[in-house]
Amino acid sequence: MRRSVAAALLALLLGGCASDFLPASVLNDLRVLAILADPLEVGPGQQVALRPAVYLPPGATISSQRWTFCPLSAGSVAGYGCAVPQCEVELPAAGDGSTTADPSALAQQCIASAGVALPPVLPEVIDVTFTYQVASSQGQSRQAVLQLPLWTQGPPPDPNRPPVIERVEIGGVPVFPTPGAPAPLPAGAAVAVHVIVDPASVQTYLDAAGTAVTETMTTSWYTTAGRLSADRATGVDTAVDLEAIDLEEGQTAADVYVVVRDLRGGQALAGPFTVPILR
Amino acid sequence: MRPGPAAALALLLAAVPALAAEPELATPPTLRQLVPAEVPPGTAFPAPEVAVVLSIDVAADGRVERVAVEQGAGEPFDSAALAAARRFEFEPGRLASGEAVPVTVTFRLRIREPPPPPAPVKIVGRLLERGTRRPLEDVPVSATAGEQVLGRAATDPAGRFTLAVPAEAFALSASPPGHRPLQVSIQARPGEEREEVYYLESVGGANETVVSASAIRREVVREVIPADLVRQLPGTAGDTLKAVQNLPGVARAPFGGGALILRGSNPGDSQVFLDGQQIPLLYHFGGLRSTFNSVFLQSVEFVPGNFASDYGRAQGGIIDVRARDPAADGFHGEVDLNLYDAGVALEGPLGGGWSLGGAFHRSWVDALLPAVLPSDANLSFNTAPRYYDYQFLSTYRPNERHTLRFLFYGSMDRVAALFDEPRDDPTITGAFDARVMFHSLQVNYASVLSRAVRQETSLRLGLQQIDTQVGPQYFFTLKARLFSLRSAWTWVLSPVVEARGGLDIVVNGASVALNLPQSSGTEAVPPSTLPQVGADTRVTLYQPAAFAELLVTPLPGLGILPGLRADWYSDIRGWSVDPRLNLRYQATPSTVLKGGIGLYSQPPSPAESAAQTGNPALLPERSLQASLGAEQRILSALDLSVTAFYKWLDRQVVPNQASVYDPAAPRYTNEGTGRVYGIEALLKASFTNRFTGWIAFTWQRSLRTDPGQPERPSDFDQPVNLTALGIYQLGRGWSAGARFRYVSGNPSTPVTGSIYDSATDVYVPLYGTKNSERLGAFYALDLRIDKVWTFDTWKLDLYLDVQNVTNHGNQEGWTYSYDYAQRTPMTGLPILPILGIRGNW
Repeated sequence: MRRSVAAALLALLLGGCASDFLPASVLNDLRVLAILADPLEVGPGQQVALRPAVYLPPGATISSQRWTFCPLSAGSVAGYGCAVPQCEVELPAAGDGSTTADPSALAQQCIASAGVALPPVLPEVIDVTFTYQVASSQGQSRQAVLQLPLWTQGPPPDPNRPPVIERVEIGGVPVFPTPGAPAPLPAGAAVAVHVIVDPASVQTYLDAAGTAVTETMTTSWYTTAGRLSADRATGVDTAVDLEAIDLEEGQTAADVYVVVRDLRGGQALAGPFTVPILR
Repeated sequence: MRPGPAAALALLLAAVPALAAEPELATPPTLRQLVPAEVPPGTAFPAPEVAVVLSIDVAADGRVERVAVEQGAGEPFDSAALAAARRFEFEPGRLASGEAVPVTVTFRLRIREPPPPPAPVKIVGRLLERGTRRPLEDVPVSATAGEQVLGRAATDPAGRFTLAVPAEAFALSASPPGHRPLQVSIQARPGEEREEVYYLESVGGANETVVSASAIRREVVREVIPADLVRQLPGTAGDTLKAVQNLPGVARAPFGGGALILRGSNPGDSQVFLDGQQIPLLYHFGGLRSTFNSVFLQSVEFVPGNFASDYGRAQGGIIDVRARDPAADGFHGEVDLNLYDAGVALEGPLGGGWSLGGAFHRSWVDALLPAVLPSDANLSFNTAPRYYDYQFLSTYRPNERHTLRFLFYGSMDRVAALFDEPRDDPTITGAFDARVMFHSLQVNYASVLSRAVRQETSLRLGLQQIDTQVGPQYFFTLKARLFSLRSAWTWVLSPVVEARGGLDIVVNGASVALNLPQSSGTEAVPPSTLPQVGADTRVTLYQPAAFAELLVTPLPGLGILPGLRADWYSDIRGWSVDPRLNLRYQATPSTVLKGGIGLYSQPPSPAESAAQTGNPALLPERSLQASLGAEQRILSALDLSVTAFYKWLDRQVVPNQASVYDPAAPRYTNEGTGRVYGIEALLKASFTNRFTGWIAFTWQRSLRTDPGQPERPSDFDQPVNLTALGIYQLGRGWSAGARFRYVSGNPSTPVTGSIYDSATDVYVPLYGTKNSERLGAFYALDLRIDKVWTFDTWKLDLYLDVQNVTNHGNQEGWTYSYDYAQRTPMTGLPILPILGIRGNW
């Protein structure tokens, strides 16, 4: 533990130093911004619908997209590979990239067909993994995963609900839920992007140690032009500055996206919000 | 030099000439040349003045022809008077005509008692080393006048001497080895008592050669670095433990940190001891500075492997830091200021065989950090990183057979920061708070019970506390009480057999509370993507051990050391029994052959064996170590040591990947194996008391095999490790040192892509074959220059230690873009000048 503390401190201090890479908040290639699932936790016999939020750079189209399901993932340390490869099944993808599935049925199918021995006592909850792969006409590809709890003994007792974005303002102009037109942003200037999350959508749950924990809402911002003063922030009332700097040739507007996460699988997306840029 | 007692001067009475019926004497003889009578020194005078009446025949030419005593005073006065009178010269007696004629005269010669000799001059002196005030013991001191020696003495353990010099003017001289000689002229009054203190400057000995132990040793390889050498090594800023990194068999730690990687083992596989007891925490902030300050350091003993049976619970190597006794010859102190910290130390005798010393250090990194942290850093400090450490020592030596030592030492590291925005991982946000501290009380008692039996026992009581909070989710709290006892008894059974046995007991009672990402143990992934492990528990670990060994010397110069160690581990309810055998043979006066083989067991860490976070059914890790080597004295100032070694590792604790998705699966298993092999060479040189240096070279492979995977390099596999360093005394208090290092780059696991975790908004790297790449090689040149001003009662040392003088960007890893699509080398510390000033008295 002492080594972990020291390594964490060192890494954090070094990470405080700026790098030359583009930040994650700058959209200039194919990106999966979110995977929206409904519901966020399922029990036996329940269907779940998943829809990816994909950003395509100008001129690009989706050339292929694919969903797979795995009841037992090897976890992030193994790149979310399926622990029982023969249990990984492909799911049909609609035109908008969405899909639906019955995780408990697929898990049962895996047990029956793959001959996997059941443990003496089934865990009450299994994290099943949905993997989404998308490729663009420009040759880019992305993989994204969403793990959802599958309750094996019955319906989820207190299911997670996604966060609710209550309001988004850009430069004081409401743009969500009521559409609005932000004022043009002169090159070199900055404007605040303000996000408010409905406090009622913030839930309290028990962590692995049995401690009651309140969800931490994390807001991620993205822009197609300019730079954001931060990639993400925590809280129900957050704001960042959009600066009209480092503009590419011909950029006259910035499309801003906002994704709020509860870090337990719940996600909410708003945008794009177009901010004209004066050059 | 004064002459001896002078003869008394005689008072001359008018001679009474003898009258005869002869021509009338017009002019009687007159004394022209009086010679004083000399009596032997020490002659007792019956009166202050003694008179001898002589009859002297004076010839016509004025010579004395005959002398006789008419009225004597006894011997030796009569003889002295006769001898003196024979040398008298007279103007002859003359008649009225002017003719010189012989005359007999009666002469009264007075002999006065000489005055008593002047009282001797008493010199009460003291010889001390200039700057340190260290007494110079058993130094001959002499008082001379010309070629004549007037007195001799030798200094006592306090450097004192006393001389009674029977002269008012003389020279005092002494020539203590390793110091400038004393040559001083004294002009004093008779009977004067003078107290003098003389400060003599050392002219050598600061660069003592790295000393190897005597031919009959218990370890195959044991290197000892003296304390004064530790403080001058370039590139280490005088740090105690980092000095070991200059020896063969020690891998370079990343970012110049303090991880101890000995003979290819993992950082946690080696142990560091202070006078036989394990130091709870080696470094501040994981590698910045040692927690035990070098001011009370006597030596650092380094055993990279095949250590003897009295040490265990480690499958790597051993470092034993030896503290010195506080000064008993007077009060001394030190003040040390450098880039990292400021420190003060005081020590001195308490009387009755007791001496006491104390030191305290406090960092000022917290004052400097805000100045160097980038303005756009996503970080602000509530409490900037700071550390303290302290050491108190007291030694009681009533006689040569018993030594009792108390050590009370501890340290604290503290930092509290606030992340303005979430880091790359959204769970790393908000407050970061860490406090790590320990306090230890240690008592060491060594005694020689008889000619055949001696013992060393040490007892330690300790407190340790770790409080860490990272963001709102992750925390780790440990409160531990430690008790350890080590006792070793040695019996000399015969001239060729010595037995040694003892106990090594550790008891650790701790309460632990945590909520942390489950350790993957392999490559790093964002913590928010890992399942969390929580625990709130109390645990007590009992780890008793017993050891026994024989030191057999069947032939002169041959030492055979078979040993056995047995350990019990309460957390896994398991035993280990480790047989070991070491040999050393002084084949020739300049050649030693050495070898060893043995089993070394190590228990899993508490986190690995605890029921809540690990697997209580684990077995102890194990390594079979073998080494073979030779030491050769090439010249009187040049020594070479070469050792080849091989280590087989089995029952290595590895994370069980199945536990990530199967809660019933054990989190750790003993399925890991490995092997380490290589050659170490150390060439040491020490010339003319001015130069000390060495070249350490290691060629080594450290390999591991994970379950179901092919063999691969370990994380610290460094095939080539070369260190060349030297320290040269330039004179006039100047010294310069340089160190060059070349080390193979550490293995690295390539990232082949990434997958986006939508729930946490992080990209998870996809890794290729573990450690299948290698970072760029490391090389650096460090320079150090010292200037010491030596005054009579104190010294001032100003030093500049510049690490990485060429500012070479050594790669320590990779920095990746957010999706791991791009990477750029991450380099270590640039040129780092450390200016320090130290005063001691």
